[in-house]
Amino acid sequence: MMLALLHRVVVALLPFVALPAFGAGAIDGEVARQPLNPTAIVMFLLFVVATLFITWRASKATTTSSTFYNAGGQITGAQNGMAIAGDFMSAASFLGITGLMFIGGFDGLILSLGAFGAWPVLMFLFAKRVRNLGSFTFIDVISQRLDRNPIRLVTAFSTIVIVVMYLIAQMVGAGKLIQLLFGLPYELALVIVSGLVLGYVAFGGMLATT
Amino acid sequence: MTTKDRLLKERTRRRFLFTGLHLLLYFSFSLNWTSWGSFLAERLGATYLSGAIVMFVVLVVLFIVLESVFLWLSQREERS
Repeated sequence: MMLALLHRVVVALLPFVALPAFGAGAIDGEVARQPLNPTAIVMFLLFVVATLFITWRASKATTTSSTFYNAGGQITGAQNGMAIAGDFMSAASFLGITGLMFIGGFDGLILSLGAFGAWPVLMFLFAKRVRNLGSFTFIDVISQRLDRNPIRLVTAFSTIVIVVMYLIAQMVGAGKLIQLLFGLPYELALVIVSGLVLGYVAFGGMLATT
Repeated sequence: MTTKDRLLKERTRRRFLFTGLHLLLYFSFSLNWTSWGSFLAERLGATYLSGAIVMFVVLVVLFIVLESVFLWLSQREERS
């Protein structure tokens, strides 16, 4: 009962996760419209078409929870490593870390070390257990040992808080990119990018996002 | 103690050893904010690289090496 309620609350809140990006004042300055760059626009559109094609192909293969959450275990370590590296070299990292270093100097560098610090610990302690238990997340693993409802509440709450922080920088970066490339209003650019990302994840699952 | 138990203990010890080593390396970066790590603020010869930047790069490489060794040990164990 409580889990069902929690699930509904989380699902209901998800669409609002990206909303703070609309009000984000991270880049308030006037964006000067660049001269039309057909090469950049064509490359961007090609990238979008290619990723949508991958998503379409992946959605055909995504039929079970296992294929949605971990691509049925068919992604190799090297492929997954490259995908994680791609995640790490995101707009959020570029904006967040360079911004922090701009404000705080060398102190900002500690943030970029954080990701390198966290992933190996997860691998040493949890990776094999996740695989052996047939679970998809670290929360599933610790729920096996601890009281499920409180641990899921705490982790769902902390996940949403962290994702909101992360997504604001990510969406601001992506929105500004579209605004610069196409001269579209920032809000419309945000909606387009959010729609594309939602489409990739919802239809293609782990296979498409990887 | 059965062989299975001994193997389990060995794996757990290895997990904690690697985790401990990794966390020790990670938190060693905080030397940059202490007087003990003042040498890290110095430049590397005539370059613009500081000891802190070198430490950052070395730590990232060490993390990758640690992960690779851990994976290699696990795979070797699975094979045998």
